[in-house]
Amino acid sequence: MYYPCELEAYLGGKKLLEIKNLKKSFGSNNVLKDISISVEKGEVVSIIGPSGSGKSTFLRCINYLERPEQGSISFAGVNFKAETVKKENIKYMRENTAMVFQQFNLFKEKTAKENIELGLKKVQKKSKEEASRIAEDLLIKVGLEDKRNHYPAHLSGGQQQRVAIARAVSLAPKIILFDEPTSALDPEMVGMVLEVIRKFVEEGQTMIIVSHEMNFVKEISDKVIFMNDGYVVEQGTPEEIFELSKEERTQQFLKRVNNH
Amino acid sequence: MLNLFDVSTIFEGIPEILKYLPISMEIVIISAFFSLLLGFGLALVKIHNIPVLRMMASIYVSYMRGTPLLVQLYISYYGIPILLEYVNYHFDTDYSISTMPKIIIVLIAFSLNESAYASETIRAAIQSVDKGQIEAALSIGMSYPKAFIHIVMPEALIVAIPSLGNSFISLLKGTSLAFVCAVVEMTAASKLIASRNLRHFEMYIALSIIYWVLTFVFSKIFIYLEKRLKRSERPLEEIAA
Ligand SMILES: Nc1ncnc2c1ncn2[C@@H]1O[C@H](COP(=O)(O)OP(=O)(O)O)[C@@H](O)[C@H]1O
Ligand SMILES: [Mg+2]
Repeated sequence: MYYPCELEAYLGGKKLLEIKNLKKSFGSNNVLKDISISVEKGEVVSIIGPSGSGKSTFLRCINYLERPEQGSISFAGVNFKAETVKKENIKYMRENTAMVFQQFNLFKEKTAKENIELGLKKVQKKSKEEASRIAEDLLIKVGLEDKRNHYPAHLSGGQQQRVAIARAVSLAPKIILFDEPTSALDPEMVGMVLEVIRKFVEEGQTMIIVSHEMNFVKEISDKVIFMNDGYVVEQGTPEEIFELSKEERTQQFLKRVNNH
Repeated sequence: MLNLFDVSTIFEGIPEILKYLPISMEIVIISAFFSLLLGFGLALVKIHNIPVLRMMASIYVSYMRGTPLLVQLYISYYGIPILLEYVNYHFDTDYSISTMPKIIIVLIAFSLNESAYASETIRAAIQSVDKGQIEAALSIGMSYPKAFIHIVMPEALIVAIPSLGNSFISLLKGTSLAFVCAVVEMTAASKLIASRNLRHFEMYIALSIIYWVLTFVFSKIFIYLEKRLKRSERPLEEIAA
């Protein structure tokens, strides 16, 4: 098995990830004004909100593709502050999270299988045989074993995204960050990709998902966060957000989305 | 019959001239190697926007591309001995100017000149690699240098090969200027042979045929290389095999 299980020992019901008062700006544009969230092990947390509200930026701050200016991060027993972040903290965040991008971002000169193997070999220093075995297992899981030797250019968007998910899962990250994984896909491809995500949820994979697929969010999430204009406006169970929302901005957003 | 043009001397001349092919190739290959190293360094300076170095690199590239190679060769030919004298004087060393092989001057001049062109090619190729792939590599915990080696370099190389190939071929043709530094490569050899047999026209025809065949062969090699490296465009059967 290559899923996070060694965690159990020291987590003991505590939060897996806790982020407090995170702030990030691009120049004078304060994109994240004050974000605090927490994620427990095995939880699926979804982030919804209008475009431009800072959802992608927030996910990218978690693995330091963007540098937050302020805030404290506590992740699986490691605590640090954004103000005094060290190189090793960034390395730790990246090695223990994985990301699935809207545009897939597969390595285009590597085959589907090589895309999955690269991190196993170069980051986790697994043997060729073990990397190959893990990659084959995952290709079967995402239904692409017959595409193992295909390059991204020869795969459909949906297939590419399934490979990207396999690449993320392969490293046994403690959390996977999904940034609108189906937004760039043709409608007929969306179902298969959601199916694959669902499969890994059932295996207990912890995730944070940014998505506009409201039905999927409702069904899959343990917790839903509504973000607007750099703030967390409201959070709760899917029911609390979708049926019993107390915030007007949430209700307006959901009404707009539903009218589509 | 008038004997103004003698085809057979062309064919006799070719093997004579080819004896100097190794010198020409030595100049091309060694200069190409050092120009790649230096060009890569210059490209990194530009890409990472290193304050003072960046401006120096820009001036250097602009100068090297904005002045004739022939003039640069003369500058090296007269400048390097002067430089050595200064070095000997200030550092109490004893580099001999008269015994230094002249080919070194040529190699330095060509490497410096080529590196300016190579740096632009390499910079553009590196920047052509889609940033999303680098982010994907970082997001799975790869360090930036590792991502650069495993993802950026292979893709940038594919983009750079046609242009580097062209530079290589210009360099090959440019070696014909090395005679101004008293290095006997193919062009200088042709001149010498012609001054003996007085068949100047035939010798230069022979020489031109050699250059032509060489550039043809090398352009094919670069096309082949590009195809080989571009794995993602090879047919599936070949990849699976
Ligand atoms: N690299 C960047 N440089 C400057 N501004 C950015 C950058 N990335 C995002 N932004 C800005 O941050 C804001 C939030 O963007 P984003 O996080 O992509 O929102 P969302 O994912 O919710 O649509 C937008 O105003 C966007 O223009
Ligand atoms: Mg976004």
